[in-house]
Amino acid sequence: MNKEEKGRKYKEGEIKIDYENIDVANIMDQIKKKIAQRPKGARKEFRREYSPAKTSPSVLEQYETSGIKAKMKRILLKLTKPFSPLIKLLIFPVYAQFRETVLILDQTNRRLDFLSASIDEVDQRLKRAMEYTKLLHSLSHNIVVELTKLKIEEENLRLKTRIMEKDFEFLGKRERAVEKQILK
Amino acid sequence: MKVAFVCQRYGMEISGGAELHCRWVAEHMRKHWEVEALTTRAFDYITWKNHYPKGLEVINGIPVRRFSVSKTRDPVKFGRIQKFIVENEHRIEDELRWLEEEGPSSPPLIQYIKDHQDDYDYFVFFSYRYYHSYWGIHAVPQKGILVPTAEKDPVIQLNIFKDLFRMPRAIVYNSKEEREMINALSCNDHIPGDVVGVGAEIPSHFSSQKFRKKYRIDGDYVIYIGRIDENKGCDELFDFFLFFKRETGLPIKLVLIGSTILDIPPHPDIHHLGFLSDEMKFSALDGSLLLVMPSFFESLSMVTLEAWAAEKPVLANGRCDVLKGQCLRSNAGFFYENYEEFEEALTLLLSSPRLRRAMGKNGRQYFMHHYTWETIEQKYLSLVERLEKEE
Repeated sequence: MNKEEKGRKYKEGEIKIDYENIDVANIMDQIKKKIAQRPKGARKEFRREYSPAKTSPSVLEQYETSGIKAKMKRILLKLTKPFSPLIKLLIFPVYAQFRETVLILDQTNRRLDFLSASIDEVDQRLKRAMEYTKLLHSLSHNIVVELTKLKIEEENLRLKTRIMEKDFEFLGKRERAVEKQILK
Repeated sequence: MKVAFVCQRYGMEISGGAELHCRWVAEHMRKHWEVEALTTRAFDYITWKNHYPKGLEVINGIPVRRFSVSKTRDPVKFGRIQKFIVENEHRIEDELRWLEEEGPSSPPLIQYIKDHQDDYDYFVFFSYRYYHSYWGIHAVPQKGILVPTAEKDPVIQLNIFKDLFRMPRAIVYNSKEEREMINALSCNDHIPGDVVGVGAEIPSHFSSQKFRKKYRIDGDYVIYIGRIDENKGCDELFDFFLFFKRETGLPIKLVLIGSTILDIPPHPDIHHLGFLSDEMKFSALDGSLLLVMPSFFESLSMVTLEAWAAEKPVLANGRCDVLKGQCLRSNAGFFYENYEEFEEALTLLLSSPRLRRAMGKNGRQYFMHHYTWETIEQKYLSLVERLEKEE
């Protein structure tokens, strides 16, 4: 924000507010839209104004970092770190962990079986759907062919009707001419 | 009807959190039930060292039975176990070890509950995550009512708690969001429950002028009330406020009330006043333009409710579902999820006294509708009545 904008205030109507019936969700949407509409360069990069040097970051940390005992503990922990897998192996109930791992694996396998069965089912459905699509395609193709044939047939029939009408008209005229000849 | 309120700590000196919530509810329900408080002798919430004398004590007319904490907490060990269970695959035993280490471990309290369960009709347990609630509900599931005061922190995912939320006779939630979170986590929709929360104790007399005179605060200010702690989002608030001051140049001050475990940046417009009495706290609130609530984790912010009771709008951290939900439902607060939103929302609130008044009014209405003590008491009574009928 530049110097001119310092001390800025919202202008009347910048955000539409119904003061009789405040709708926080709507106002927040307008604020969010307003922020989103800012060009990329105008977006504010938040910078830290101070580094929070904590007087006591958390009471737990205070406990953790104070005293010779804590220091000794940290050194001991560092020293024993390379041996931690061995220590874990000796201390922890390996059988229980092994059993738990087997159970987890078993559960995972079952889940995998279930998922692969589901995949097979979905695959079958997909194939069936594809067959249906093919059938529908040939059906619509056949319908189009049949409709074309019917159209041609209709045209032929119309033509035949017109010829027959003309023949009928001619025969009518001829009939009248023959009647005249007989009456003479 | 005799009801025991079970809480990790209980005392007049404890000024916030689930403990104060418990005390207030117990004191109000005294009108309707015969009430007792069962608690430990601890005062320090880090080590749970025995502080209060053992035995029976009467606080504001409520008999309080205190039981010894058998093992103080080793914060280093506890921190290590918590880190392990949050970050690694682990067993139920590890979670129980964490619970034991978290404390306040008081087997005599659980034994008392077991031995005297017939003497009480219900036990109301506050704070799901502590020893007393877990083992207490296991001891008397059919008489246990849980007030979880749960926040969206990692330990709520522990398996022991998923089971715990399916055990009690009823659950009293603090907010709709808390209920949804717990229902989603533990599929405990079948457990009877209600969203109740807590009321606020508003002093009969308070005056902003008295406050301004005493602490020599002049001009406009926004206020934060509560523990000044990283977990409460205060470091972010300082960052945002200082950046806001530099960017907008608005002559606004930030007044902080509460004890601190964080270094407060030295700035002429940031005033830390420490812990104040209720009367002075409300006086400060009364003189402020709005309350800022930067906390990430809340199950129900009592201070937010107090601000609404005092007709003040709130600017809350939108990354806390509960605060965001309350702002939306009450139409009495804005929320932010980053600096830009903080700046826009705060500028809008500071620019318009009319908007602040309208939102403050909404806040007051919301408070009067949901959080007066009559409403809270009635909700507790209805829940228990429902349980009685079910029986």
